[in-house]
Amino acid sequence: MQEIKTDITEKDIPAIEVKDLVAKYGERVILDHISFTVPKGEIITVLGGSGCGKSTLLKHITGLYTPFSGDILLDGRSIVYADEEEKRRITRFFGVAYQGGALFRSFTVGENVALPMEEYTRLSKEEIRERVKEKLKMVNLDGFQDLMPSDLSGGMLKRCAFARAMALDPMILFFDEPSAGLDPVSSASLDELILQIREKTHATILIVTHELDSIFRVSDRSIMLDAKTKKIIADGKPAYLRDHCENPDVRMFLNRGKL
Amino acid sequence: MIETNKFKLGLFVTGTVILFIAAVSCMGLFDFLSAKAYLYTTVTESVQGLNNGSQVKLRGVPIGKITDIIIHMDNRNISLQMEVDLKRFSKSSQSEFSHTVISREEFYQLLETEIRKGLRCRLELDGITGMKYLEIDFFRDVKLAPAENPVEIAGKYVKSHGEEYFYVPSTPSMLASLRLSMTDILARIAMIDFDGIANRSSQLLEKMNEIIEPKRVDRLIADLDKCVEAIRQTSENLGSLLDKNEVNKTLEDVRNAVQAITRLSAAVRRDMEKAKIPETVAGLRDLTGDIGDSSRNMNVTLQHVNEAVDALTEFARYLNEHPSALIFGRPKKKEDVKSGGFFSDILP
Amino acid sequence: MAEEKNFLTDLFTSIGGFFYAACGEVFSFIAFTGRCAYAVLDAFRHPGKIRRRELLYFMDLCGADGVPITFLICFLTGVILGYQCAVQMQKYGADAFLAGLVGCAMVRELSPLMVSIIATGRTGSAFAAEIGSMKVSEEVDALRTMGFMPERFLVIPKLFAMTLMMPLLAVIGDIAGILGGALIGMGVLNQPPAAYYAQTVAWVRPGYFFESIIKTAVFGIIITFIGCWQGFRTGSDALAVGRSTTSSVVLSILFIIIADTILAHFFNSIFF
Repeated sequence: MQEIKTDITEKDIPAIEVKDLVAKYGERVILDHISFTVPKGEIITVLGGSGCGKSTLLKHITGLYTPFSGDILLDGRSIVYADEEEKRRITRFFGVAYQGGALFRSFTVGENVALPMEEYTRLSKEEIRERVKEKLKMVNLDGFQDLMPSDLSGGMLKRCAFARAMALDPMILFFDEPSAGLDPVSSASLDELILQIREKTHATILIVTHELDSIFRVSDRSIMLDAKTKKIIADGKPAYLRDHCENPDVRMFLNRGKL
Repeated sequence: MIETNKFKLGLFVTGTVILFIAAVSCMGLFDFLSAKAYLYTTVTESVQGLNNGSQVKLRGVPIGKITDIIIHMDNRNISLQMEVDLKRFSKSSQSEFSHTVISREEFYQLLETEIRKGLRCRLELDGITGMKYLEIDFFRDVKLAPAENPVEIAGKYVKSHGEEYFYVPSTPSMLASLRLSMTDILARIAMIDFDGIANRSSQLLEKMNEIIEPKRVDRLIADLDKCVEAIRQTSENLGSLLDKNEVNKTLEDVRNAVQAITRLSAAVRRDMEKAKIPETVAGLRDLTGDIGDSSRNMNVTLQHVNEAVDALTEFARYLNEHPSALIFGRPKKKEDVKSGGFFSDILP
Repeated sequence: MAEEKNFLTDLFTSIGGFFYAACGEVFSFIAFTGRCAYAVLDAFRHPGKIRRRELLYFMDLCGADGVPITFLICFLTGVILGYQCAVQMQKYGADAFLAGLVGCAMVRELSPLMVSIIATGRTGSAFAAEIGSMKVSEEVDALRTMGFMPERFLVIPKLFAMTLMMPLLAVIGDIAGILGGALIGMGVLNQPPAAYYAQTVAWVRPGYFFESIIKTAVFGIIITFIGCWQGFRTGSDALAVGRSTTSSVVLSILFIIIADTILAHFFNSIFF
C-alpha cells in the first residue's frame, strides 16, 4: 500500500487532490462538498472574501483539522486517513508559511530554519549551517541568522517563514496570506520571491490570499470560495475569470468591486 | 534568549543534592550500615503508646528502636522486638575519645551477666503525649513478677526475620506496679479487725473507770480536812502550854506549816473541782460506747472506701493506658468492649 | 403550566450542557494525557531527541531561579508554624516537641505543598501562557505541519525539568522550614541549637525526605500537565491566553490538593 520512495513521483499524480471535502465547526458547515486537483508545478491561489473558509481549507489540506467527510490526497497519499507516522512522513514533503510567520520566538532566525533539518536529516552541524545560509540567501536574509524573530520587520518575518517552509526542499508549499499587512513594495518583492522559488525548486505552490496584484502576478490558476454556498464558484486563470466569468460576484471581486 | 546559565544550574543541582544527602544521613538513613544487635522481650500489660520505631533506652541513653510488636495468641503476651545500635557501646580503652565498638557477641555476653544481676526492661511514659519508650535498667523499686524466673530464660535466642533475637526479661511498668501495690495495700487495710480493736479499747476504759472511783476521792479529801483540823487543835493546845517566847516561835512555825497544809488542801480541792473527774469519766464511758457502735458503722464505711479505691484503681489503669486523658479528658465511653473480652483476665 | 415546563426544560438543558462541557473537558484532558504519555515513551526510546537546550533552560527556570522565593516562603512558614505551636505547647510544657512537630509537618506536608504552590504561580502559569500565545500565533500549528508532535516539543522538556527540579526545591524548602522552626525554638523557647537539632533528628525520619521529594515530583508532573493542557486549549484570541493562565493555576492547585490527600494516605500507610 504505502509508497516508500517519494522523491521520484509519477508525473500524472496530482500534487494536491481534494475529494468531496465537507468541513464543519460543530454543526456549522464551512466547506460543502469541495473537490479540486492541483497538478505538479502549478501556482494556485485560493480566493474568497472573509469567512469563506480559505484558512479552514488550508488547515484541512495541511492535516491540522480532520474533515467531516471526504478525502485529501497529497501526492497521492491521504492525509486524512494517515496515522501519526504516515502523517509525519507526508508533512516532510510540504512546507507551510503562516500568516504571521509563526516563527518560534525563542529561537534565532537561523535556528528556526535549521529546526526541520535537525529533526529530519542526519546532516552535520556544518552542513546544516551551510544549508540554512543557502535558504536564507534565497529569501535575501543571509546574515540575519543570529537575530531573534522579534528583531525582524513584518516582511522579513514572512521571508524567514518562507525559508523555514523550504528548509527540507518540499514539493508542495503553502503560503497563508503572504502579503497581508505589508506595504506594496514588500508585497511585490514577495511575489517576485515566490516566482523565483518556483523556478528554483519546481515546487507546487498553493497561496491563500485576497491581494489582487499578487493573484494576477504569480498565479497560474485561481479557485474562488463563496461564503454563502460554501462551494467553489470559480476555477480558472485569474485574468480570464476577471473578464469572462459567468458569476458576477467573481468578476466584482477581481475588479475591486467595480463592474 | 533561551541561553541557560549553566553555572547557576550546576551550582543549584550540586548544592541541593549535597544538602539532601547530608539531611537524610543526619536523620539516620545510613544507620543500617552500622553494627546492630537484636533483642526481644515479652510484656503482659498493654503497650498502648508504643509503636514501631519507638525508642529503646539504656539508663536513659537512646540505644535503638522497636522494630516489631507481636501478640502471642497462646499466652496473650506481647513480644517486642528491638534493634540496638552497637555504636553506642564502647569497650574501655586508654583514651576517652578513641572508643572501640563492641561486637554483638560481646554485647550479648555483657547483657547476660547484667540480667543475672537484675537488669530488666520496662515500658516508660515519654512526656505527656502518651507515647512510650522501652527503658532497660536495674529497677530496684519494683519486685519481680513471681511466676517469672528471668535468669532461667535470659539469653534465650529466638529466630525471626533472619536474625537471632536475644531475650531480655521485663518487669511491669511504673504505673502497672503502682496499681499492683495499691491493690495490695487496700487488701491489707481490709484485713484489719476494727471490731476487735474497738472492743478491747472499751474494756480498757471500763477498767480505768473502776480504778478512779469518784467516792473514794471525796472520802480522801474529807479525811485530809479532819487531819488538818486535828493538827490545828493540837497546836493551839500546845500554844497554851509552852513558854511564851519559845512557844510563840514554835507556834509561828506550826502555824506556817498548817497554813501551808491548808493552802495545799485548798489547792487540791480546787484542782479536784477543776478536774471534774466524775463527768470526764462518764464522758469517756459514753465515748467508749460510741466507739463500740461506730466500729460497726466503720465496717460499712470501709466497704465504701474499698469501692472508692477500686474506682481509683480503674482510673489509674485508664491513665496508664491513656495518659493523654490528663490533658484531653476522657473520650466517650468505648472501653466496655474490654470487660469480658479477650484481655479481661490480663487486667486485675 | 407552560412556564413550569419552560423552567424544567431550561434546567435540564443547562444540566445537560454542563455535563456535556464537563465530559468534553475530561476527554480533552485524557486525549492530551495520552499524547503526552506517547511523547514520554518516545523520549525514553530516543533520549537523544529530547531538546537539551530547552530542558536546561526550563531546569534553570523552574529550579535555580525559584530558590530564593522557595527558601523565603518555606522559612517563613516554618517560623509561623513554630510560633503558633510554641505558644500553645508552652502552656502544657511540651516545648521539647516543637522541633518534632515543625520538622515532621514541614518535611512531610507543608514544604511540598508550598513549593508546588509557588511553582504553580511561577512556572505553571508561565507554561500555559507560553503555549497559549504560541497557539494564538499559529506556532503550534507550524510545529504540527512540520511534522513535530507539539507535545514532544513543548511538554517533554518542561515535564522532565519540573520532575527533576521540583524535588530539589522541596529539599531546600524542607531545610528552610526546619530552620524557621529552629529560629522560634531558639528565640522564643530558648532551646539550645544542639537540643533543637537533636530533637529534629530524632523525630524526622529519612523516609520523610523521600516522601517530600516524591510528593513534589508528582506535583511537578501535575503542574506541567495542567499548565500545558490549558495552554493547548487556548482559543485564538488574546484574552484566551489570560483565561487559560488563570484556569491553569486554579486547576493545578485543586489537583495538587487532591493528589496530596491521596498521597498523605498512601505515605501514612507506609510509615505507620
